[in-house]
Amino acid sequence: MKWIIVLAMWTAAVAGGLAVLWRLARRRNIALRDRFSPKFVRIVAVILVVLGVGVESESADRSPGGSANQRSQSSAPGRDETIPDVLKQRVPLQFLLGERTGWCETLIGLENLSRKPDGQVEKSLEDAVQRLPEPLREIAAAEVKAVKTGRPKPTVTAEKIGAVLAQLEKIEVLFDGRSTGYLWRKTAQLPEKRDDEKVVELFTALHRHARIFNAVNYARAVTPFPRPRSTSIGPRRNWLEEHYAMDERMRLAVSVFPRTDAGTWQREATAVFAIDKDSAPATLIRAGERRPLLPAATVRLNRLDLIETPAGKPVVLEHDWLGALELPPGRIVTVWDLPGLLSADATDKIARATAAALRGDEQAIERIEHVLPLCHPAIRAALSESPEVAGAPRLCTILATFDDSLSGNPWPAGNRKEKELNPPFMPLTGLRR
Amino acid sequence: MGLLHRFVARRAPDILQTEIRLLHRLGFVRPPQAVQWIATSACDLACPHCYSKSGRRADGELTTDEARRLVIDELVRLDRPALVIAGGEALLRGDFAEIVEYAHRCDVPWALHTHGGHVRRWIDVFRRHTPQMVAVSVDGPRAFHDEFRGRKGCFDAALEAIVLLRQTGCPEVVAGTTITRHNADMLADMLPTIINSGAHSWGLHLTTPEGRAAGRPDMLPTPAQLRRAAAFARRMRAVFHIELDDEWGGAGGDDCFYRDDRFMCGAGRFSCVVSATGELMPCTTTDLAESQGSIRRQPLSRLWAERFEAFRAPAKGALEKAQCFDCWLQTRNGHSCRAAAFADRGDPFGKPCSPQTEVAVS
Repeated sequence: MKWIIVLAMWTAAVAGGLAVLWRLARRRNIALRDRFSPKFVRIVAVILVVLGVGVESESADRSPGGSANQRSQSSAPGRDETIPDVLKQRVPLQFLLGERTGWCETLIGLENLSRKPDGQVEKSLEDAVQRLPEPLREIAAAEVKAVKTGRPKPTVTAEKIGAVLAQLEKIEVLFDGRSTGYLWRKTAQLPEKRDDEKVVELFTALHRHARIFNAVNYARAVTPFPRPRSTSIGPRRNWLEEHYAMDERMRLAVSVFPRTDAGTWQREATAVFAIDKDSAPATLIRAGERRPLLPAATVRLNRLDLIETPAGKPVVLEHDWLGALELPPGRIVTVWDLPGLLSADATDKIARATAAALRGDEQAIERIEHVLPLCHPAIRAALSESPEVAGAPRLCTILATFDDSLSGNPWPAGNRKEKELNPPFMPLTGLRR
Repeated sequence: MGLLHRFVARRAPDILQTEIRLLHRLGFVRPPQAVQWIATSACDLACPHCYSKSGRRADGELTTDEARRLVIDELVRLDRPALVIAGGEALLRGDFAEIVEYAHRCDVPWALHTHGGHVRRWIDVFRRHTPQMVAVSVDGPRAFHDEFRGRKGCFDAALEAIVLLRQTGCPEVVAGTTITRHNADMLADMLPTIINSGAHSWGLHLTTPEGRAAGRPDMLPTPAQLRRAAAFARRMRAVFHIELDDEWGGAGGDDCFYRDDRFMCGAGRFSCVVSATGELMPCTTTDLAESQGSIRRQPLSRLWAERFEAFRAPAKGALEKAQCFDCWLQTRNGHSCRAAAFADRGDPFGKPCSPQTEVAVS
């Protein structure tokens, strides 16, 4: 009996081999059909890779930010930094299930509320806020209340924002772009008297959060889901996908994290300054690292950078277009402080450029794009005054890239004709997970 | 099992590369995952950015019988990839219900591209045979959309279509926006409308300088507009499911911030297009020079197996090339779709457009 099986197997193998040779000789492609043939080829490919055959060397560094390694070293501070332990254990589930937190609905709801206050929108927003993770709920609820009543957004201390971020990371294990943007926007309302060390800690934490999110997001994108085989009790697909793929993803995130930069936080919505040669030296605080800014040096200031000025003598930044910007001595200056420090002449220039941009002047648009950290209040004001002008949508898009938000609510409620919600409020489904 | 999954996940690019090479050497071709069929050139709108000059029905469009025999039956032979029905306006075909019915009977999943104006008319078909995906065009805010498409009420019809399709249980309703110079700066204005429309996602396409758009260079967005649009989409992806479609090309290491799946052009590899007259094309282009043959003369399954050589030949570093250089305009002009389309204005992502290109650097 055994020899019959052996003979049959040999015959099948020879027939298979001949079929392949015939196919090769015929030089005519055929489409693989049936359920198993593509899988069979995949299995052969896996075996070849296991044996180390046919694998091309990986030449590209595919870390997020592309050629991060070719950029300046400053783009990836803390190369020896390791990703937090908590990420290695629990972040996969939170990353996948982040939507249950109601985060997106809250952000969209705030936008909707500012455009067209409506009972249904309000209710949906309140529901969303209730579903937010505990640390976020309080400050989001305060913001909702302020938007509803038309009052200014409440001030939040750096300590409080920092605590919220720490809780999100440690307790909720939530690393996402929304948190970075939302909490950074909250720093616009820091109280006048603030604890500088806490501000530094907060901006450092936000920078780190952005990098971790980028690393995790990158890992999510480049690690394909393996397709688990069905079992007699069903595919158990979700469980397996989450378990195995996310495990791999987290491992990849950990490995690329040291080379990952803060992405758009670092490269977009920046402004370039030179330190005036007669200025006092300042200190740039980027990602928690302090670097001296000596007179005549040039710096590209991003939204998560801080400038520390020495006591006694002011620091003077020189901008190509807007001229001198005098930073007060003995304090930590955030990007939100910069517009208030502009000279009258610079403010006037920005106002004129913004007005021209509203009219659609391309040159003016390009100009203000290069000084977003300085001109965003002027854009908000212009949009508020002239929401119907042709150039307004473009400025809203530009402003959104500074705010890292839908639009930063530039429109006073009911001030724009096209802002109605259309069609009547639908359950939202495309929100990010 | 677990170990294999871990291994496959970790070595996925290597496995994919090896598999491509293996398939090529052995003369095997994977069946396509999706086949788009331009069901008709007829359209009741006259959008200036239309890649196909749609309007009148083309001479020699596939008949109902041909659609069944030459398209759907062939898809069955190719392991039933998704049939993506597009146009023109596909819903203007009187035999739409018949064709969908037949596809359903053959167990071929289907999807649809539409401007949304006729969804209500066919709503029973959608209810009976729910498509896998429907993309509804939304070009801008109401006034802009209606003016651009040349008919008042288009915008409302599109939004109504999204709602109706959602109600039929369609698992993926996509709002699709083709970015032109005129609407590129309206994205921030459009987003709340798109989100509140109930669409599952928002696909951003680029105007292709073909068909009616070929004579309108003023329609092409400027590099600054594209940069802004990409930067906007990247940020808003944190909130809503926005995808930059293939016309944009790849963004190298930053690709994951612009789309869910890494860019890889499927033309001739896992998708193809059947034109209204039965020409098999690698992707949605009207350039007959790209035709791989007519499905009236040779079966679709054979054309799929034997043609598209230029798209399938594996090369060293094929995966990396696929990220950026590998798309249909690249095949034709030696550039990515985007760079070719906007060659005279430069590449919005910077030059050279390589996998290592920094994206949207200000």
